[in-house]
Amino acid sequence: MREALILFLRAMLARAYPRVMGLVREPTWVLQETVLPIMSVSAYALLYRAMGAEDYVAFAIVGGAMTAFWLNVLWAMGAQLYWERDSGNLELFIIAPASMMSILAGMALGGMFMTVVRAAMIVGTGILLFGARFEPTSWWALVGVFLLTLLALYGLGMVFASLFLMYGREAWHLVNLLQEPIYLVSGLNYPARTLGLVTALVASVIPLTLGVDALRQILFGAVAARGLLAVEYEILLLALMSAGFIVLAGWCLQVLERWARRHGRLTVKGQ
Amino acid sequence: MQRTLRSLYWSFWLGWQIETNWAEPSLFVLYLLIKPLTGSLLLVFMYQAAFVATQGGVRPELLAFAYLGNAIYMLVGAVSTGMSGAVVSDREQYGMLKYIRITPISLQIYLVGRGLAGGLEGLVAALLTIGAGLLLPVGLWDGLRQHDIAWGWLLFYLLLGPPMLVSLGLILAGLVLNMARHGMFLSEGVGSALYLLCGAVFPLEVLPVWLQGVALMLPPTYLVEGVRRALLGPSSASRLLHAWQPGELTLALLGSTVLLGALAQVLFTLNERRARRLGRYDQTTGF
Repeated sequence: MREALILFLRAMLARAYPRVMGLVREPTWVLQETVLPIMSVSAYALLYRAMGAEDYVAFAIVGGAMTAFWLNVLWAMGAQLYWERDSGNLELFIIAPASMMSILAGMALGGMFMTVVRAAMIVGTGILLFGARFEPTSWWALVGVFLLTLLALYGLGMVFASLFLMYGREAWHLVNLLQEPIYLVSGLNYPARTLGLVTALVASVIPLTLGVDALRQILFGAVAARGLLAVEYEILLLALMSAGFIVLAGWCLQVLERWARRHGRLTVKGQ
Repeated sequence: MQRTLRSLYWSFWLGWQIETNWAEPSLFVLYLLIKPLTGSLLLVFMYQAAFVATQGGVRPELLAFAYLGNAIYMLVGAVSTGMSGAVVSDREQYGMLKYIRITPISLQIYLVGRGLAGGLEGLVAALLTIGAGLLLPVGLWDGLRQHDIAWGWLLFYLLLGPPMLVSLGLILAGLVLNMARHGMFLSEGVGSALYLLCGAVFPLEVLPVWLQGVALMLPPTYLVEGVRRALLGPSSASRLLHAWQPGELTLALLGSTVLLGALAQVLFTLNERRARRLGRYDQTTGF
């Protein structure tokens, strides 16, 4: 049991390592994944400015920072095993003595670290360029909600990674398809309630919706007074989602890995 | 000429197959509709949120302005990033760029064909988005009814747009030929910068003054404004370009397209030679 745990932790850290070191060795990626969201955020912030809704400029900046996490979950978690298959690493992961869950956990850990740096840069740039102001009602609640949101998001990312073992070339398009529609329903750039209460509640199955809504309620107080649910409920739901997605990811991985072995999909490349 | 057209046709065909044959046609049409439509609806809900926050203080013409600008911009993004995307995927993912390079067809024509396939996808997406916009309460229908559509100008801008976008795409593709796989950042970055600077979703006067000057140097600014104006008429939403006559807009687009085309020829030829000298055609950097 102890050996298995040590192996799990070592494999997890080993898989997280290239992502963390990538920040140093491939700084263009930081530039890439910071500059692109900043430009989108700027476009939305300027649109709010043009519409005279100055209060919502900061909303768009928080949405932009959280967009970086969603993109990381999609591309660096969901589609990652697809890339690994194309580059020939997937079979090595499968035959290694460590569990695939440890590989996924490492990907998540490294991805979180990478993206926290990017999100911080987006928020910093938003403050400098647009004079956005954040006044958290509680720093503890802010950090707690943020961590829970990340846990739930990356748990969902682990589920995606397992599901994507089924797909070939269409994985790229599916990941693309999970961008704008999710930005729309999760209220990344406006209060989720704008969608209508029922739609917003349905959209709450995506942790991004509840996470962003809770963060805004904590960060902006009166401006975001009409949140989707009370922050306490949102925290509870995020905690449940975190646990649920991680358990689901473990199950999906077992089932789909077996499926992929049976259908010979573990080594198929370029399709 | 016939050989050029044949190369163009087959590269277009190949690009279209790559873009579309990963799914059943019905699923693909759904994909083509959902992605751009949800991207445009995002603007609608932002408008709605701002409308509530300002207690109805938002200028109503801004919504149609932003919605239509966003739809037109789909064409810009599709062509310009499609060509550099073809370089990255053919070289890094499929490993085919070197084989294309040694065939008798021109690499430039091949990339133009691939770009036009992306452009067709962008055009269909834009048309579907505009069609949906006519059915939704975004003010597009009212905007079109208040003003006769300038069909002649619309046709003119739509004919002049593709050469301008292809020129932009060729510049990016040439540069990406000499970059590693993160060269895609360049084309995506340029795409995002153009989205921000060409006034697709907000009036240019919201930009800082020095950026307004940059925006007025970009050919896509005139394409987006030209097509939008042909459909909606001169919009009071954009004060900076409001005073421009169609002839002035046309001259600006034509002049900048000619300049961009010449620049594209020079840069692509130089980059193609450099890529050959440095062995970039089969240099994969890991996908």
